[in-house]
Amino acid sequence: MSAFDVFQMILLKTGFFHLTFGHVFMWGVGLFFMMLAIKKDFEPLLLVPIGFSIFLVNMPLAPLTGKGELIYIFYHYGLEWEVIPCLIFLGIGALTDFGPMIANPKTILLGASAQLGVYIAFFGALLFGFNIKEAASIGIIGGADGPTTIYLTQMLAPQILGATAVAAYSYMSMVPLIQPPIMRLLTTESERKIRMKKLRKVSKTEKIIYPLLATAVICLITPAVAPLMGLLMAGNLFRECGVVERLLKTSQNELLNIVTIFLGLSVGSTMSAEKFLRPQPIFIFILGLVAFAFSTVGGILLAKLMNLFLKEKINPLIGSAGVSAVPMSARVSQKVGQEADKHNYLLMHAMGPNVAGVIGTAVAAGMFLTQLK
Amino acid sequence: MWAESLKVAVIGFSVVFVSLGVLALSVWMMSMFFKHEDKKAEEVQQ
Repeated sequence: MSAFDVFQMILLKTGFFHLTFGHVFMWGVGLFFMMLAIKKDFEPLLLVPIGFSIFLVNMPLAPLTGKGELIYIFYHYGLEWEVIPCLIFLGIGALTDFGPMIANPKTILLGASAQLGVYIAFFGALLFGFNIKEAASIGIIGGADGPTTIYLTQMLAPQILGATAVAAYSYMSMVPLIQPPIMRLLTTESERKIRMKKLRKVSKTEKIIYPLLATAVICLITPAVAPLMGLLMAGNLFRECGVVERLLKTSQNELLNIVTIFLGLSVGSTMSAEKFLRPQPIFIFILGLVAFAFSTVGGILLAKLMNLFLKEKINPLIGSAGVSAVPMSARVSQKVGQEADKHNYLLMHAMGPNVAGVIGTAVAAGMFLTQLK
Repeated sequence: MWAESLKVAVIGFSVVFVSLGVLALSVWMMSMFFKHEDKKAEEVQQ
């Protein structure tokens, strides 16, 4: 074999020879996500690993996503086995204070109405030609809950997992851009100025009983969602019982961080050029935006409707926090509220519908599973 | 397909409202119970 033949053989085994326009385009997509995270601080904990994984898996010939290869193993055991979304929920539960929701239980209903976008996008996806299981997976993006989106999509339509997961996390990070114009459009200046009564202090006993109560209510009505709800409430019980400090810290920090790394790398790995460069993912991104917008609308409209019957009015801006991007959408309610009245503090009031939205999205996903799986 | 989809959506959205409605009611009842217990404890102390 001549030196030229050897050189040619080596050249054929390098990635350069197999590089396509699609790979380079996907590098651009990966870099865009990393840029959003690094420059704009949009969900950096997720968009950095997702972006890097997109960049990495689009290296031609790299042994990463084939059966038995490194990222395939993360994906298979983490996402296909449904372990990662549930463990993320454990961490979220450990980080969440349900106190504002317990103090004002009527705001829980706002978390239900903010699922409107899920069903609007569900029909939108059917119109775009997706089948019913894919439509459900696309609709759930409107709940603005990444782990639930992954959980449902993996069970119903794993072929579109990459696009739905990335759309969900991208729109979650864009809450401060998407929601405010809709909130201003649907509320009057005087509604935005409504001040709400200070929330009562919730006792420790109530906070300990709550995760048990919520687990029983939700799992009895929608058993399909027990893995997500169970771990969410287990994490919350760790937080509130006050006697398992080590478990709490692990759930809030080390465990959550570890599964976030595996989640990001696994989700990004589904976005190879061959799978992603088709019209489908573009439609999914459009429908995701529609879902998100209508979820915001649903929350605000129910808050306005409730005000027709309530003695103590609620500020309709907290309705938009019913989408479950915690705590970003609650912060947006606070910010938009303070534009109208800078001494109006809505953050804690908005946290009620915000955490209720997490439960609402999980129930919506559970109902899709119950009816379609 | 449309009839089935409509059924899935209507049932799903209704169950979301029912579940969170029941949760809200349970939380409200729990709050009432503890408020009542706190009041009783205060009265005993006085």
